[in-house]
Amino acid sequence: MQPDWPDFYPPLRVIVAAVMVVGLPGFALACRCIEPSPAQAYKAAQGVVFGEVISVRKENERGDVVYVFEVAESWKHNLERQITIHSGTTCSFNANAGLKYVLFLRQTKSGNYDTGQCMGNQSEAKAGPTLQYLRAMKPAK
Amino acid sequence: MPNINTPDSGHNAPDENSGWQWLPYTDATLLATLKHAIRIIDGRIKGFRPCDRAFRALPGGRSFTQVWTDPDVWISFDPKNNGRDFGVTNFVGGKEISVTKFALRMGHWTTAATLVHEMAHVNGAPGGDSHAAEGTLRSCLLSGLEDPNILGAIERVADAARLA
Repeated sequence: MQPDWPDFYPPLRVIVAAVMVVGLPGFALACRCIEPSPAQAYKAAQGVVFGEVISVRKENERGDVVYVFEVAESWKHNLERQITIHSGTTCSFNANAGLKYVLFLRQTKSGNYDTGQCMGNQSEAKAGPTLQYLRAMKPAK
Repeated sequence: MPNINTPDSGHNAPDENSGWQWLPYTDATLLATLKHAIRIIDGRIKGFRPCDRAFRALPGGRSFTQVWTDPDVWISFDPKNNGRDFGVTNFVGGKEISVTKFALRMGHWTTAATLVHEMAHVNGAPGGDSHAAEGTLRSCLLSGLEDPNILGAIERVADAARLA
């Protein structure tokens, strides 16, 4: 049996074939999604920060979390020195207090920030190429 | 089979969370793809013993067939078409699944794999760095779709195993 390819969008087959050849940064197995490259993540995000998770608070019994994050560097938008970031659903991003991360942020209609898996987030230990990419761009501050 | 959130279903779906939405299906083509995926699961995966066993090993302890036939599970639509996101469940152990426009445009096999993955979350498969949810595809005749970068189709062992 052949995989199905919708007739209404034939270029999709070419795109996925190209992806198979070129490869992608990674597939997040807990959330059914594909991690973007730094350039893709930067383009999609409304803000990017590098800094330290000061605290992690469980927001509800469903496992949503709120991170208090100390911003050391930011891109795309000037952000306050300390911001709160929400993450929820089965695609929430897990971070640990006391560790540093590069986080790609989405801003909600109410002005709050959230993040999740497959947005390009990385711990400092793995963020070398991403930080190199970001630092080559104009920082927000 | 799970319920489908349509404009006529009267379903009270969750609010947007972390960029994910649980909307009703209004596009007939995308809804047809979802129904095709559901038919695949109903006809070939529901009742498949290795899949049921893999699901019983998840924290929720229910078989795939039990989760699939849970009358409280709903499938909604997320308009993301970003080439990266396939689906989500409102929380681990939740019963509100949403499948993205991207997954649906990839076709009924990708949609079926996404549904099985999300059913694992309904049955308690953790998020974070866990491979538990995606790992169930290996036991549920969809191993070729465990990594969506690799195209695949349902294994032919289905019928043989059913008779075992």
